Amino acid sequence: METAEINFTEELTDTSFSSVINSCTEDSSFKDEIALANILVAPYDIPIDTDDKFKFANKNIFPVSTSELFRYLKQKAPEEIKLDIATKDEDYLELAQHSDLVNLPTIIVSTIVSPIVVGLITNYIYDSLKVEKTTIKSEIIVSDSNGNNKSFKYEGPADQYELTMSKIFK
Amino acid sequence: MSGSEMNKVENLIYNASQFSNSRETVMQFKMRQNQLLPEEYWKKLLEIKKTAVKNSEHSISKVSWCFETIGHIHDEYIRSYNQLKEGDFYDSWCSLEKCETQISFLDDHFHDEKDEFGIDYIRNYVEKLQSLFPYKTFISPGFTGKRRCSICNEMITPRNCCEHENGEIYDGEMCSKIVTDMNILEVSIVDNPVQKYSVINAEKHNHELLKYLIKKFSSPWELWDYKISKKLVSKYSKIGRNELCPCESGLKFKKCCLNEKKEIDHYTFMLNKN
Repeated sequence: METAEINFTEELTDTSFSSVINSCTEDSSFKDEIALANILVAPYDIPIDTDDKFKFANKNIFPVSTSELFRYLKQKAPEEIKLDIATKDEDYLELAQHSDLVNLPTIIVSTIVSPIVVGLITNYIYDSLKVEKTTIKSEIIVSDSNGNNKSFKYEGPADQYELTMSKIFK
Repeated sequence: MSGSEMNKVENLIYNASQFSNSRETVMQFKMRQNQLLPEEYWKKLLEIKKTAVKNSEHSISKVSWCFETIGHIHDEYIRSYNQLKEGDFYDSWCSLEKCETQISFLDDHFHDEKDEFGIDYIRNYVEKLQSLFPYKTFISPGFTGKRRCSICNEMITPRNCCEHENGEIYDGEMCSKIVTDMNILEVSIVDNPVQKYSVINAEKHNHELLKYLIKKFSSPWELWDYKISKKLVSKYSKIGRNELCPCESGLKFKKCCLNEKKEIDHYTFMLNKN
């Protein structure tokens, strides 16, 4: 059997709590509500093409099964976690993609809760997806108190996720 | 599903008296050769399920579903065999895909550990047969949509959701999520699709390997295996170093393809006729 490759990157990013909150809605009371989160599930960053080919571009698109992940995190997260998702339920849309790859949504977290989130996502992969042999794609953006945002992207076998991420999020 | 519930389902599958006919029919799968399950098999299970639902006997309705799924697995496997025999290769491929899907559904609720229903046999041979098809690339769409629960029709959103769990059995029906408001964004060519139906130009592929194999079969329940070795392409095997190269370059063999391995995969099939 072929050994699946792990693609892991770590880089600074402009995506932050505030950039996601500001772009996902015009509704100021909803913005205030989700601004309380220290874990925020972010939508896909799909560019709106200028020649109008991509009329579907929408700010509320998430990977398929984000609902299930969101509810899992809600149920399992300790009390200090304030979890939210950057969309209203009525606007929520899922993107199902073509290949046998599990896309997890981008999750923005404050530094202090980042190890908890990685632990919860690892448990979700094992408990709910039951897909040890499947490739998963995940991005976690860690936002520190100085306003720096660092993106950690993982693409590789589900059963290697914990090992790879635990080296970073101790 | 919890371990204790799985044990209860397993116990009913093997022992419940109302399923004795269904159990006997599917356990004798090899006797049916290439015949699909009779109409009575499905009718009987439907009757049992209706009664169980009416009496709120959830385990019984779930066991009915398990027998229905075992039946679908058998029928799709036999169908794929018959289609191979008829030379309908793409249809056979689709039946194998359906078979694989049904097995994955059943796995969450029942493990045929002693292979009395032939589930592991079929799992093994579906994979083997699929590996002999020449289909390697597929068309696959990417789309946005909303999802509804197939059991209660409620919309699935992050903050609101019904209690029905995907893949679980409710009143003898498996819960799945139905996509609505679908908007196709793109169509891609991929080698690892979620579903394997959308083969590109299926009829133009070379199916000689399968044609060769299926001629040797007298039943879908043959025991067989294969191995692949590398073999030098015959026109390169007996060429002298100073002869003209068979690739028609005009050069001597030693100055052309001598050091390039012109090899092909060679399949050796092993059939156990006992």
